[in-house]
Amino acid sequence: MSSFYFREAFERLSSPSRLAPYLLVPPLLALTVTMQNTVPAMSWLLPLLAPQNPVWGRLGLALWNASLVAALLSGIIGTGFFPSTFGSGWFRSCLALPAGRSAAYWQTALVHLLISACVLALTWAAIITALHVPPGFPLVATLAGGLALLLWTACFSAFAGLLAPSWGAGMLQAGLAFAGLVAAPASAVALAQPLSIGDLAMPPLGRMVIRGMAGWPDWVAAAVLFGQALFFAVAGLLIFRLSVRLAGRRYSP
Amino acid sequence: MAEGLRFQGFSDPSIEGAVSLSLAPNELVVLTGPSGSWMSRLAWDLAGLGRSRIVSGPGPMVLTRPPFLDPSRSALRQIENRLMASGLSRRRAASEAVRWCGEEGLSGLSHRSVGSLPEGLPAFITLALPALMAPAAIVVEDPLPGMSAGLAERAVEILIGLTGTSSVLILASDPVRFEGRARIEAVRARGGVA
Repeated sequence: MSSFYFREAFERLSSPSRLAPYLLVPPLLALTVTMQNTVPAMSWLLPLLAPQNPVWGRLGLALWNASLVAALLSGIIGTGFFPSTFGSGWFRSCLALPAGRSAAYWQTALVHLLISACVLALTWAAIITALHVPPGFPLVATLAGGLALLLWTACFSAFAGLLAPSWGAGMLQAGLAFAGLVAAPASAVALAQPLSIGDLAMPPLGRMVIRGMAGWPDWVAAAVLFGQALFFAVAGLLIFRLSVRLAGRRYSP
Repeated sequence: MAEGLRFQGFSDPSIEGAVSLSLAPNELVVLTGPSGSWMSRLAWDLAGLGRSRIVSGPGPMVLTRPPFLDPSRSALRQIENRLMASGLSRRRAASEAVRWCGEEGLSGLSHRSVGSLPEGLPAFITLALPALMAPAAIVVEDPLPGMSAGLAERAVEILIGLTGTSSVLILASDPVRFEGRARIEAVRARGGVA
């Protein structure tokens, strides 16, 4: 399997201008943690459950906010990167190379996911080093949930980048992610209920984050996010192949 | 031994009838016709990306109309990547690309970002791909626009030189630089204007 598109995407995404937004991770993380600790008005967006254990709550708050911030920045970078890549004449010209058609889509999306995951892993490592992990803390579930969040963001930004220009892809992603956050149940009783079929249409971002912050991991919500990410990845791949086949060089400048 | 290139049954709303063409091994043919999207569509189909398969046998290497390189990155690095995609090892792709650019007097320019290069030069640099890969058949869409007279003449020499190893099909709306040096075939515009 040729890694041509992987190298191309890596060179573009590792340019200083594409990496620069990740420098915002530390200040945004500090801001979100501070706001959620001190500003009551934030509770309408992410109504925190009382942590089962204050130490768990502190670590959970830091790890989940790191995941949210990394996913936010990954989405912003992705919705700028994918439309400008998939829509450019030089990229379409490269499809004539013997490097695989589907690879043009999935390798490009994979690089974006891997770079975002590296940033998130480094942030997590710093948090875990600074805050001792107490015995019994659901670390694996928390990290898996954070990865589900990032995977959903990366797959959806590639999918949206195929359908719309940068501003449109950004609006789509922001709208769905915001709706997924605020649609979270506001009470502990409601959060304890299993996800219904109707809930599956919306990404259960808020539900997973709120329960995760309380040290009460929601594996079902994480699995739903993984499933939705897989759906967007496969749908994006099919649409990409169809657009190559039907539209030809209609995208050319 | 090269096998030549043969395709049949290409049609487009802007041209009359269906186009079929056969190139002998090591032959250079220029296919010309009305301006329009038919050339891009034909290059797309020849690359196996279109709706119908028109090439019998192995597909040719296809260089579609510029831009072929990302304007924000180094031309040399992108040529290396494309050579690797076409089958060369990383080490060989790097050394061959540097050597080719050196021989063409582009050593200094090839490291610059494509967007900062003079017009026509990025298209010229992409000719490194067929020159270094020497595939059995090559299709180049509109290779000369934007090039200075000297650069265009050198590009034509390179394309003619490719016939040492390959069958070469050029899709060009203006074949004047190839007159007397290649077989020129014309397709007719729908409505009868050549």
